Amino acid sequence: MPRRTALIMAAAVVVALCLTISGCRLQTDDAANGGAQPDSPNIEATVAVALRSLEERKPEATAESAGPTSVAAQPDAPAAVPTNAPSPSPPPDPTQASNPRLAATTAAILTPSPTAPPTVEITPTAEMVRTTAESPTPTPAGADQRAPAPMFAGTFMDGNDYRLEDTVGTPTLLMFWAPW
Amino acid sequence: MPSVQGFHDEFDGAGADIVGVAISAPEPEVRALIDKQNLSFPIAYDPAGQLSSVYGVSGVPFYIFIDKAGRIAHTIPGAPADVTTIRDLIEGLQME
Repeated sequence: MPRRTALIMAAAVVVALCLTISGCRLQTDDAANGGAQPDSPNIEATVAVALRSLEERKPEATAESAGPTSVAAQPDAPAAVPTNAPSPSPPPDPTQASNPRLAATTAAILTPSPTAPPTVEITPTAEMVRTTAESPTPTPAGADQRAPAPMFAGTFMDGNDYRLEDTVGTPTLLMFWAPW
Repeated sequence: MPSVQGFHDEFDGAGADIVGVAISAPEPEVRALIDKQNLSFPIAYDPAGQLSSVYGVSGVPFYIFIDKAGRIAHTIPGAPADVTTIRDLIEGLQME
């Protein structure tokens, strides 16, 4: 077992013991003083020293164990933004500065993907307008550009014969419809 | 359809004809609607879509305005925003 790991484990045991003793002392003092705050400077000082020792050793241990697959990145490491990103990321949020991985992930999500398709503007064509069932715009034709209407004749649903040709000389509205 | 019937009532004998063409429906359904809505303007039955095909109709309703010379002056695919559009077009053709 490496020496540093043994030291960390020993410090953790000391802290656990101190917390256990402190808890017992607090319970005892509460019972004796009717809930007043305990006066235990020695135990508190011991706990403070143990915690300080852990804090001092923690960065070293983290840096030592950091490898290629470690998730603990260096605080000043550059964010993992693709080098071909179209625009630089905005200034990092101070609340996210303590978590470089989260900041990098957020930047990657907010940054437009370089492979995203460009915006396509759809221009209606004459065919689309003609087949759009809800278009309310009439299609006008200049008097000199109008095509002759196909003539038809037959027996209509009322039993009468009808010839469209007979309506020449009078404006006519043909309305195609269905009962559904 | 009631609005088209209104145009027939308005323009019948007043210089414009209204003609309906029923498509894509069984004849009993078409007749039932004619009876229900009291439609009195001439209506052709085009179940095979022959007439709608030659006029380039791809959906209903579809309005085709024919001028005095028998030429297609305007087309409106779909329902117009308001009935005044239809009235204005008919009156415009009457004044030509």
